Amino acid sequence: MPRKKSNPPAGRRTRRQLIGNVLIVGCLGIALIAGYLLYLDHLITSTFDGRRWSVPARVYAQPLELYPGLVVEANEIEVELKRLGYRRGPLNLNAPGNYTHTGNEVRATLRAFTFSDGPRAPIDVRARVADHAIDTLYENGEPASLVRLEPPLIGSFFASHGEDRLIITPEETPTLLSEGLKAVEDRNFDTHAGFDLKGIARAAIADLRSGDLSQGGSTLTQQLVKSYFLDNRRTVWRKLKEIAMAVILDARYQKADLLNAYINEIYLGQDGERAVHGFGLGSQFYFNKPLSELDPAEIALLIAVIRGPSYYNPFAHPERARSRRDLVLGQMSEFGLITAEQHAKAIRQPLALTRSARQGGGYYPAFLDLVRDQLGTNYDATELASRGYRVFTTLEPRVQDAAEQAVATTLDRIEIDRKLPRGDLEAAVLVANNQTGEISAVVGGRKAGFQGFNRALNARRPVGSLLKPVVYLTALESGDYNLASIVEDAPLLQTDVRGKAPPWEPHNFDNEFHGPVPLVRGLGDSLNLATVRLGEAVGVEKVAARVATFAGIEQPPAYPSLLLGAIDLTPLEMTRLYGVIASGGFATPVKTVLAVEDAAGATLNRYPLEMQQVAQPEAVTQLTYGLTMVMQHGTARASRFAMHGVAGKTGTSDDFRDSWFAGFDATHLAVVWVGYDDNRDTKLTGSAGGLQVWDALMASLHPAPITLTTPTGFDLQTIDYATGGLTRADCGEPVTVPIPYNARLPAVPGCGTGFMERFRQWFSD
Amino acid sequence: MVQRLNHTFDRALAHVGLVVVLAGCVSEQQTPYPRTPAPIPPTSQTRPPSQYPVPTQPSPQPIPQAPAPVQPQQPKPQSTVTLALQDEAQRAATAGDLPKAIQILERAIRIQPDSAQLWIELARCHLKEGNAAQAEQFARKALLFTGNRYDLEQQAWVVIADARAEKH
Repeated sequence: MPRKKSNPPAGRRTRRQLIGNVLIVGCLGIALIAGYLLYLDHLITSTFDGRRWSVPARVYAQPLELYPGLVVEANEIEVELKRLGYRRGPLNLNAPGNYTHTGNEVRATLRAFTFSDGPRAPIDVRARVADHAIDTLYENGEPASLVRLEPPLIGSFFASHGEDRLIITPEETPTLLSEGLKAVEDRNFDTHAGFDLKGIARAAIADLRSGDLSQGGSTLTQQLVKSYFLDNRRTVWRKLKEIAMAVILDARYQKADLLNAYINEIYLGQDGERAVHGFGLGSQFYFNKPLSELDPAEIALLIAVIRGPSYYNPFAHPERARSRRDLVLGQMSEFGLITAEQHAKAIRQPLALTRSARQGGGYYPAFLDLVRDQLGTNYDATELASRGYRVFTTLEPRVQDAAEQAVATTLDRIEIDRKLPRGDLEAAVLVANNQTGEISAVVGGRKAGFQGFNRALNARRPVGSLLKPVVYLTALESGDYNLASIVEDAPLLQTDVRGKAPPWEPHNFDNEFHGPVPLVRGLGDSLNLATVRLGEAVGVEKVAARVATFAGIEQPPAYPSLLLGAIDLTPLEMTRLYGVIASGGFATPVKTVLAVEDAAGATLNRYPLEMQQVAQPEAVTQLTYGLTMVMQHGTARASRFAMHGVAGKTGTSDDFRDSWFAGFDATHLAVVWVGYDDNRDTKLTGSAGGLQVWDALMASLHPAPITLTTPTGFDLQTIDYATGGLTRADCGEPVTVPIPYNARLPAVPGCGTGFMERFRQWFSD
Repeated sequence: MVQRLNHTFDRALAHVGLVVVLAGCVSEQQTPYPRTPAPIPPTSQTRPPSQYPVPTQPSPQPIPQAPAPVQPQQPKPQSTVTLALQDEAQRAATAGDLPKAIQILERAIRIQPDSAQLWIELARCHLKEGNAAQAEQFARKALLFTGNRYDLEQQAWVVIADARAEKH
């Protein structure tokens, strides 16, 4: 039994086994924990690195170009500077962002900006306005021919129900913000290892004293982890995991990086579908200015909101938010971050929020819809929501604001004047650049700042007389007609030869017949019977083909009722159609995006101008003359700009369901629709609805007369608007339009332009 | 490419039968073209209005009752603003950066959309970039604004001829 002897006693053996087992289990456990920690490490570092740069694409409008001769008022330049967050204050090239406005001179220190064609350093710009235009312009003291402001930021492509942020670098972070955050949220941030027992103890004591749970005790690092994983379940396991990750983050990264990540990450409020993350966007959301320009009271409010963005929502609960802001200010003062005077001043300050009219994430949601459409062919939504692209667009904020304002005030006024139910009337407006076709503004409805049904793009409505210019253009292009050609405005009755359709008997708006009228009057007075006869003479099929080409749609069926606009089109399609006229005969694709850049500033895509000549320039010029006569003598003569050398056309659909106006000055084409969403009768003609909005819009844009060259082979002739005969400037209702030089027009009896007349005119000149 | 351009260019010149001053995006021709109010080059076939086959309008008369659309006999002189941009575009084109030249010209066109020079220049850049179809369209666009500047009209037609030659 020596063997047996050599065996250890059973008790020792089990103990040793036990130790062995414990060791194995322990090792396994340590390995497991280590593995888990490694996993956590991987998870948190990849999230941290990934999230730091997950930035939605930013969308920019067109920058305002300042140059001598630009028609603008000094206060309009000031408005543009304010839009960019510039403030009245002392000028300093080292701290750009301020402007001065004295009398007719505006001076500003412009911020640095990287345009899509290159960077620009901060500059000092001085513009003097005289006679409603820039008279002299200086850049850094030297006379300059052209200076552009930065393009305003107009929105971002955050994912749906997603986060939006404006990245702030450590250099851009005000010291009061970073120090204030530490003072209020995490006093030992600079020294702890991601987790702060003292802080928890202090918070617990404070909570016990006050009897509520207002003090969190989480470090900034823990809050950052919590924000990354969006988990509010309060279980011990979650808490441990959170602490472990915070410790890992703290060990892996510099405190400065963590603080910067926090400043860009933390949730600060909800803006419709958009979650406002980070202080950069928070500052814009609550105060509409850059973070670097906030005062202590404003910084304190942002810090106050962190603890509960909906509980302390300053818009919804101003009292709550204010008392917590004052608490934060108290702590700032206690820690010596602000002086006693600053504190005293700050707590007297009201919240001073800028309640932006633009809720729901896009500042210009209707325009952004079009941008999304154009980008959709090249970029997917995830890409746009995360890669920090910059998208440069054609929006002109000045024009957009004017259009929104025009809709809001005009619809209010119409409803009051006409005793219509308040708030029901709707509208859509599109504004485009005449010659480039680029879209300058889109208003999708009365509440322009809200994402909603975008009538500018999606409301298909009968266009009525707004289509008539296509009939006249087709006739003028045929070469068989000019503006003085006579067409019969007489009764019409059409029966379907197969007997399938009911007979069609169009009438004039005034239910009268005007007999033989010249084209210029048929168009000007929007005479239905004259227009149908003209359209049938040139061919309904031809007109239908023109409509399709101009509006960019499928060719509509060639029913005669098409000639009177019995077709449903969107305001956007009508904008394309009128764009052909305003541009002298060129069709352009809908364009809102100029260029897309990646986060590093490299160009991903440029969208150069594109156009196609689709109409004879001579015919378009004649038509445009005709459209100026619509303003001067016809259905749009009620316009305050009737005599300003601008062109336009009214449109009213059956039973006054739709009130349209399309018109252009030398620079901008604007198409307006006014009506009810449920299609009921508005009791408004195109002149009483759409034209009113157009007038209000144009009033803000300083309309300039259209430049028209008399086409080769044409003479300007003075004819009688009513009869089309040659007349004198002082006889009948004279209008001056281009007429082919070989056309022989009868003279209006008694209004001849014989030798004696011309003789008389020589001396009267 | 340059060879081919030269070739088509010669053909076009022969076709039009004119000597015109060219610049900008046709980089082998470095002479800047005349700027308003510079005199029209003697080589261009400018005719006094009376010799022109179709009667031109009588002396511009105000339209009765209302200010009429503006009647330019002379196209508006190009502003110094866009001239500076045109120079910048020309430099970019010479350096071979056509997309940038196009971008700058488009910026200039937004400021002065009725400048025939700018549209011609844009057309040339597109032609040089190989986009003959759009080059022709922009040259046609320029024709809307040439007024009585027959030199500009000719330049536009040369680009159209070149673009056509390029396409075939």
